[in-house]
Amino acid sequence: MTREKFTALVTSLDRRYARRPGALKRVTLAWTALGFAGFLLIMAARVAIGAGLAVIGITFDDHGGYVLFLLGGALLIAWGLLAGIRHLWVESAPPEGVKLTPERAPALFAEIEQLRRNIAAKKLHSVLLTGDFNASMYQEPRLGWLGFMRNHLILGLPLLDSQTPDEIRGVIAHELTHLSGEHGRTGAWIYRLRKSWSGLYDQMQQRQGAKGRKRVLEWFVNWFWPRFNARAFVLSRANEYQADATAARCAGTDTVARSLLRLKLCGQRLAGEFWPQFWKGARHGGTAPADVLSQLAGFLASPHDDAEGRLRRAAFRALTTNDDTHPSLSDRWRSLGLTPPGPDDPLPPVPAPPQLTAARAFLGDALDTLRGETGRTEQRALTARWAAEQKWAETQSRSLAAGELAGTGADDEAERLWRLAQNCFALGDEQRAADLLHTVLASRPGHARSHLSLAAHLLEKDDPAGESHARTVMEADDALAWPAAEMLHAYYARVGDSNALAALQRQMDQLEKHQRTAAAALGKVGSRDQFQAPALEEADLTALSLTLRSVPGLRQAWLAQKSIPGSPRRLFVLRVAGHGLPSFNADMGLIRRAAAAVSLPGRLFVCSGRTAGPMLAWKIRKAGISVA
Amino acid sequence: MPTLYNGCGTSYAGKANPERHPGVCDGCGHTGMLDQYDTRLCVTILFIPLIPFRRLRILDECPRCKRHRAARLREYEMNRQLAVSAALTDWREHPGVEKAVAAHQVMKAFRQQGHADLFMRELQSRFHADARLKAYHGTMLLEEGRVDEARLQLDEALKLQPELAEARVPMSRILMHREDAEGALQMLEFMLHPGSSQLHNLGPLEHLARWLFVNGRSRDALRLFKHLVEELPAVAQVPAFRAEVEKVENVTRSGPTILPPKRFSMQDVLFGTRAKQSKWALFIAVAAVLFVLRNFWLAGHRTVHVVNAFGEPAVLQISGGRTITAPPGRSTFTVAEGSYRISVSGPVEEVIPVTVQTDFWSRWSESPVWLLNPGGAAVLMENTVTVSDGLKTVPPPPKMLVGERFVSRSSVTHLFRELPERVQLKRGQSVTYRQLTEYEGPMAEAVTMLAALNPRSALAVAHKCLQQNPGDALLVNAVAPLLQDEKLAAQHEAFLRPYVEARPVSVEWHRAWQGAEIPPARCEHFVGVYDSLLRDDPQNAALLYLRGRVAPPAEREEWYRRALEQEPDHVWAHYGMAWHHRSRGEDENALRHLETALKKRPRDETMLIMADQCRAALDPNAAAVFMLNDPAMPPVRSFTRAVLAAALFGAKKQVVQARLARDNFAGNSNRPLQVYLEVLSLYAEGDHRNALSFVQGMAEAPDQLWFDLKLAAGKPLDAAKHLPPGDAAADAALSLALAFQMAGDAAAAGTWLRSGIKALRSGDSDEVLLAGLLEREAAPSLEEVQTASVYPALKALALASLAQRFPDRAAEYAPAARRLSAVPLPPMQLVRQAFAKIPPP
Repeated sequence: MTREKFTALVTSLDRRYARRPGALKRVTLAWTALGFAGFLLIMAARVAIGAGLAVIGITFDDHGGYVLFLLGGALLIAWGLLAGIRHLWVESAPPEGVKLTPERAPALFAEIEQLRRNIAAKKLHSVLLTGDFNASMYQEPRLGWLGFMRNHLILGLPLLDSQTPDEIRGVIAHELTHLSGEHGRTGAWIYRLRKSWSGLYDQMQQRQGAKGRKRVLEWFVNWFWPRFNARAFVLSRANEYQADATAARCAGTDTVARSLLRLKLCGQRLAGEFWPQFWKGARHGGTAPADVLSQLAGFLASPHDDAEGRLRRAAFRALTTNDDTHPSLSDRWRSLGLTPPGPDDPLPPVPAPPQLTAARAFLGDALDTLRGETGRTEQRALTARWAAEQKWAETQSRSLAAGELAGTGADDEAERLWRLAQNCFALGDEQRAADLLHTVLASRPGHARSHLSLAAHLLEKDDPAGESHARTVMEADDALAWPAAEMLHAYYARVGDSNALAALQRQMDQLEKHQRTAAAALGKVGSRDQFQAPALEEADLTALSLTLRSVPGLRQAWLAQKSIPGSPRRLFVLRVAGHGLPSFNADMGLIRRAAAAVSLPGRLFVCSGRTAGPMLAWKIRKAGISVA
Repeated sequence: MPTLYNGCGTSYAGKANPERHPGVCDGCGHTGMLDQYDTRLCVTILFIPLIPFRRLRILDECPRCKRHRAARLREYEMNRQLAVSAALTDWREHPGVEKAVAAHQVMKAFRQQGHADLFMRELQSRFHADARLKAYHGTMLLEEGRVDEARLQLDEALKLQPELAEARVPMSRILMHREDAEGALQMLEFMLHPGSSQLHNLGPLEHLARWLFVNGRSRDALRLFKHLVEELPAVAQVPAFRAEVEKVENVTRSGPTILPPKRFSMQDVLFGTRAKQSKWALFIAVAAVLFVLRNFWLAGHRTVHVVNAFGEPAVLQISGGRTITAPPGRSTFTVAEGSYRISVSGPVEEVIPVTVQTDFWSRWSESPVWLLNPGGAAVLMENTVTVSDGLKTVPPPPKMLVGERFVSRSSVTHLFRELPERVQLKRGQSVTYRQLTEYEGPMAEAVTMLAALNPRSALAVAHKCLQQNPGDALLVNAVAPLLQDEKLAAQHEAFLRPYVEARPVSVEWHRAWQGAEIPPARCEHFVGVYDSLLRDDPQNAALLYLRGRVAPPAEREEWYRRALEQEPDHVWAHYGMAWHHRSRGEDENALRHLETALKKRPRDETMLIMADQCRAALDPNAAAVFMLNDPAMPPVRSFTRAVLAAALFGAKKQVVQARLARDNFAGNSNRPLQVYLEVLSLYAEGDHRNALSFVQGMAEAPDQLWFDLKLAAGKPLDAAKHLPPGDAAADAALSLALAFQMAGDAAAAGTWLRSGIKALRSGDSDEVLLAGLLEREAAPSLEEVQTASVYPALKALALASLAQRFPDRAAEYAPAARRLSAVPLPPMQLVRQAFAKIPPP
């Protein structure tokens, strides 16, 4: 299913079940049942054959002869069962974090217990404290997709540091709603199934790519997965709205709205300010700081500088996409009954840093100890990342120095400058990098990688100038088109340009289709293909002729180009003919010599009349040109 | 891989465009140059590739073990060219080291060694200061086994960039190869930093740890393992890793283990390190479930076989309400295991209690049989045979199951099936077959067979069968030999009493009951029985005849005569009279009675033969003509009649007719039988020499023929060699006695005479009478001898023997003896010679 169709399906489902969450759940469950039925039906083929053998074995009259049937049946049944379990297996690991206990954080547990009763949520098995700026509910299945869950509430200490106690109450209420009777069990189950099916779908996609053919199971998964996913996606999103509504009921609508805005702004600040600065420290050497969580707390306690409203506007402008079940800030505000500010409306004030943070209020005296423990659990990953950043910086510096030393005498100046630009980006010298890329584009306007780097640099800053660079890449280089499209997609979603986003999705669908077709066309040459005269310059053809003259045993050669519509990539087909008596083996030797000698700006397939078959040989000769 | 079996199968033909490249064989681990070439897969017969059917590119053929990979030539060539050209194009578009390395890897993957080397030279000159390229090159060289070249490249890479992991890892391998533990440890030091697992693959570190342990540096190995456990906690749950660490800990005897407690993981069990065991466990579990299901299914679906020997369907009502109709013959029905009462209706009304039950374990291993025999009408035979090393051991006698309504056996291998003729066994192996089948032959044969093994059982079977079919005369006859045992005889009489009194009298049945040869003791018993019967029915011709059979020889004719008075055309009375006359040499009278009897029983072979013999004795020519014209002759195809015909024609020199008769009987294909008849013809002519030469030419001449011809040739000693072991028959003993007497060996003659007399004493009353006459000191009169109603040849021998002892009475005996031995078959020649050698008084 294309993105466009998927988006249309999600939109239509959203509209159809907007006020009927129960119906949506039932429909999703029906699709789940359909998925299971289809899957089991296909997987059951082995089991069914095995069961057939087993029945023969069980009812076989001849004494002794039944054993083979029973063993054969057992083998097939076991194989079928294992394959089924493997396909539907949900990988799960217990979440990591510092386990909180009522003794260490009585206020937090009292709050959670009260909220749990209000919401009628299920029992929590643990509350974990991590170093993430996030809160989540993690359900760990103990019996795969059959369930038997352990429920973990995961609270990020930086999140607790950034929010007021009231706001965190809303956050916890939101998470506990996922465990409530309304959509707890079913929602979690569907969520897990979605994950399993997604894994299965990816697996099938890879297999299709490898083998180039679809089997019944693959066909079914390809058909079922996007349809099920659309419904499960809409249900998950509906659950998010419902969780927000519950949170508003528990903590107050204004509090939840403020909490959502604060979360968004803090997230943007952390990504835009704190972490870049932090990793810049790694590039300057030294060891990883041991108090990153304290640094984070300090940063989050500092006032937000958004006098111009750039961050807030960006937060409200972002669109809800189908990449995440969580809706955009504007949609979440709307679902709470509030009106998000339009492009020209006055913005709500930046939430002031809390006087009393939720961390202090709920964790009390244990906060510092817990911060230390949480920091220690995070430290290993942080140290590794720190070392990696350091190494990366060293490499980039060395590379930058080497590139600069190479000077302008290098074989490919554009390539050298592009590399230098990459090094500059890595070392944080963005201005120089941009200048270098512009220099490259001045000399080689079609240098796709420079366009892509510039697009990434500009779009990250929500600069519309990056758009044209990304579009140039999409048109010029099919290998880089996809990352360019994804950059644009994220950009349009961020800036809220829904029309451009829809148009881009259509383009991405087309691109995906073209790339798939082109990849298949570039992978083989056959007599059913269409050919044309090679699109080569005269100098290239002359060079080719000279090269072919030096190939021992070659008498004659024709060059054609395979017609691959919609792809800039070229596939040349060279038909060669040798001296002497006709022989398949002699032809193969000649082909190998020619293939090793010839170099063309594209893929090359060398064949002879005998190895290619008469039809292909005739087509090459008819459409191509004589080059030797 | 092509495969040849006895020179037939598939093989490669031809080798074109060969190339070589360095590498390591996947099969045997050989490091060196591996071959690749184009060839053709062919169907090969007797090592000659005949049918080519696929062009292949052989890859990585090891010169040592010949293991290789094979790819379809056209597809491989296309993929190779497209992949290499695509990689090179990509590199030309983005001429960095990464793309160059990718292109080189593609060339290596397609074994383009020459192309790859050229390309690498180009890259080396272009990126001469790039440590990553040198590290990559060094790694590739190391994989090809070119260690020294690899080291040069890696050294250069490390000079350019000492911390380059891509160079340090292969260098550590080289140092391990050179047993430089310190150097290898130093190379991988960068992996020992905290968090290194998130930056590097720690596989080389584990390899180094194992290598250190093997090389005696257990403490270093443990340090590395400890780091691995800290970095990758999941690896500590892998059984092989844990085992390795435990080994190291055992050697180092360090304090507490570095391994965390073992954790159960379903994912690991199903798809992880324990997946193989899990697959087997699942397979075994499913198989076990299926076997148990089969067990329960068997318990609920037991097959009961029904043998309905009645000619009409039997209705079986099983307790519980189910009704089944068993058609005539064999059928089956299914019931769950348990006890039932089966009510049979239709041909017989009875209730049969049935228990169908086996224990849980034996359901898998045994083949039990439950067989229902309504009315016990079918006779079943149970046979157990054990075969060892391909030879059947002497089997115990088959068990006849007569009258059993329900048979349950725990294991039967051949139900209603024949046992195999041959069994292939390994040395020392033995196999036991259990057969249960329906006996379908004549019961008389079964009883005879069984009587030789177990008389009591045979009698019981016979009685049960007679209950089913009392008129089975053959069966009654078959029992007769069993009645030497008085207890058995009494039991038999008690059983048969109701049938003896049955009316109308079946002469065949009574004759069978009496037996062919009735000993004197039995005669007395039968006299009492028939006198009793005649008291109630004095004018019953059949009873009068039967009474005559058991009467003393002198009274016998009178009883037959009385029977004929009551019923003038009574077949058996005429037959009795005929026998009486024939034994006296009164063939004319005998023939008259026989012709009367044969009017009623024209195809009775016994009577026909006796009539032929009478005719032959009276007038051989007429007999021969009669036999040739006898329309009954060809269809009867009696061997005895054919022998007689051969003898008759031979005696009268009518060889052509003899051949005609002989061929008429034997056909042209039965060569031994033709010779046999030819010999008898010569015997009848008295041409013993030719007869003997014919017998010598026979492949398996019967002993009886040898015996008769040797006697006729005057060689009793040779003849005696052809007697069967044990007591000789009366006629054989008397013949030998006669022959020895003629040969002048009186002692031997006396011995054989006593032996003959002994044999006669164990016979019927007539033979006992004859024995008495032969023992008498004084010569018996001819009339006394004629009183004994024995067969003519025996009486002729007895008369010849008496004539030898009492030459003065020879003239009296001679005519009678000549009449009695008129049929030109043994002992005719002997008897004639005996009388010819008696000097005149």
